[in-house]
Amino acid sequence: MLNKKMKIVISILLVFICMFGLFANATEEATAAAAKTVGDLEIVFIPKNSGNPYFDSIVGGFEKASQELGFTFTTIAPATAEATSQIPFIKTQIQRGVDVIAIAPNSPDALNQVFKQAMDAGIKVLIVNSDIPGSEDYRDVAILPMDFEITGSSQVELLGSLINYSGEIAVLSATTDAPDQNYWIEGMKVALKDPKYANMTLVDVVYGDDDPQKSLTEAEALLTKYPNLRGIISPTTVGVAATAQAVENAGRAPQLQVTGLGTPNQMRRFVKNGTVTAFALWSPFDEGYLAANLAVDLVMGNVEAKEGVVFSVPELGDITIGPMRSIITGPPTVFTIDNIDDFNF
Amino acid sequence: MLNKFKMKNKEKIDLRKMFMQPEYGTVLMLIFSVVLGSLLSPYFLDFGFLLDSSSMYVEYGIVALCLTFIIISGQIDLSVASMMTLSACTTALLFEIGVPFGFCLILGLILGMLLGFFNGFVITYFKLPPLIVTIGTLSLYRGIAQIILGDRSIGHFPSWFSGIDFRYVLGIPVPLLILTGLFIIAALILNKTIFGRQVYAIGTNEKAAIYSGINVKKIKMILFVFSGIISAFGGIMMMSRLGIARYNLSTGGELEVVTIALLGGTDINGGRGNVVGTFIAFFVLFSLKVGLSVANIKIESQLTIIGFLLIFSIVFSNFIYSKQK
Repeated sequence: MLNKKMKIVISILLVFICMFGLFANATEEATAAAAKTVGDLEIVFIPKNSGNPYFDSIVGGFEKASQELGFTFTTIAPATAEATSQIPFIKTQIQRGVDVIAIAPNSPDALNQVFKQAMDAGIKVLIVNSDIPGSEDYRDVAILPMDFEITGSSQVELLGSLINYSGEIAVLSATTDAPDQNYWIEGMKVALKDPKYANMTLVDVVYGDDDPQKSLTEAEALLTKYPNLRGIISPTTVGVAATAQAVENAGRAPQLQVTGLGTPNQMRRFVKNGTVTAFALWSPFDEGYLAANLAVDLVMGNVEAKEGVVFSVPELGDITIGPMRSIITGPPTVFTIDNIDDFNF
Repeated sequence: MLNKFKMKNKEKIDLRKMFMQPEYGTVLMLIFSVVLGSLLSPYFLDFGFLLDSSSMYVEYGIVALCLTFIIISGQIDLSVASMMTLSACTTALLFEIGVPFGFCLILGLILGMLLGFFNGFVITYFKLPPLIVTIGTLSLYRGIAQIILGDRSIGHFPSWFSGIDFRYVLGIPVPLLILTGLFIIAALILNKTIFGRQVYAIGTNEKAAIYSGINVKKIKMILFVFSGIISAFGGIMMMSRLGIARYNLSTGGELEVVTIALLGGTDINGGRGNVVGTFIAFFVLFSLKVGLSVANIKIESQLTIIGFLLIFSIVFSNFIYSKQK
């Protein structure tokens, strides 16, 4: 009986497979290529995960460029920032036949195979917001928010200036393998060797996985573990807001300074009520805007992805493609109570 | 003559019974997801693309086949994804320190066996609930993977090993062939062997199984050991597909695996279910995910639909089982 049942089930499956086969030819004529105009271009942006306000600003930049230039823009993201969660999304975009995949990757190397597949299909792969060190061959260009060489040291300097360059400090980061954060933390450690920061000691680095609840728990643990803590640097937008919340809850504000990389909208409340004095960020909006403009130029053949090539973006001016085809958007902005109301993202 | 008539009659009854199987709920869902996918996007019904995409989920499908046995026997193994990752990481680490790659693969599978053995040993010897034990080893095994590999990945495997998803035999990707092969073996074991009947017996009533002379401990042990080996195998396939191994691969994969098994109509309380359902459920989950993604449906809506289907599947198979009684 079971055998019979299986036979029927399997034959139903086979019928299905045949149906797939019949439909298979239907989509193939779509590939016939003609001379493209900007209006035909389809650009997709894949953030690290959904529901992350930081990436909404990048999306904003893409959308502005899309309205100005007329290309089709979509964005889709996985639920979690797990290393391989973006792979299915990239594969389906290849199948959709988009012209450009812009992506903020969740892993420095787990996506290499699928990036290669995309590039082989003639799609431009633009890394936005963080590079894939060591895997540069698997992307066309990388658009970085700022000079990452100075991100770590500028954070140390900012915190130092807030705590008179002395006391115990800690770092609350994103995931343990977030490539940017790890690079910046390395930069902080190097900067701290400078005699100027001799009285500042880095006592701990903890990871909140860019999850608000986990970040809050980790921040609270730091506060309990180090009663003399003078400062926390959280170089991630989710982390810095959670850390500020923990410090506000514990009422440790003036003695304990929180700084890091945050968005003005998330941090506004903490700056207004005195929990946070100053924090920094580049403009993710500009990043998206630059990426979109460059993407169009690359596909239309106006700009070649090569070191030293200069291209221009409205409002941002002339921009040079740097080593390893990486591009820096601009210098970081420091937000304080004096200027925070000028920004809305 | 009379005999012949009886036979016919019997077949008729069987036919009616056949349509009262929970697998048909899964087939309905497959039809639903394929229709949905093709309505949502013109890019969905492309045979080559679908075959190619199946490779992304095959590892979970393979592990789900083995998990179906475990769930039928009334147990659960939530450490599968962690065993996948730990085996993959260990294999990669051995390769990095210079062990010939063929040996690394064998050692990786042996490690999977040991991890599964540890699960089975703690569960049967200390008589602990498998849910608790494997939630423990879920963290434990991934923790070990993170300790041995830290925050880096190992790659540059021999070229014969990498990119299993780009290998085709008769136009079908190798991972899908492996899944189909393992499915046939699993179906034969579950439906045609004494061992298979014993698995059902344990899940239906463990005490009765013990009293009827079934070596319940031994069978549970075999199931968990196999779960370890198959997970290690899945982990190695994943490593081949991605070209790297790192500690956080397949995070949360255990839920995907359990979802596939339950979508297939297997009863979480044990005693009922079949790998046929699991095999079809693999196609449900993958065609649904691919169909929704290629239509640019937001992930929140995707999860909602998958959650809804899971509830439907449980309600449907419960209904069928109650009719069977």
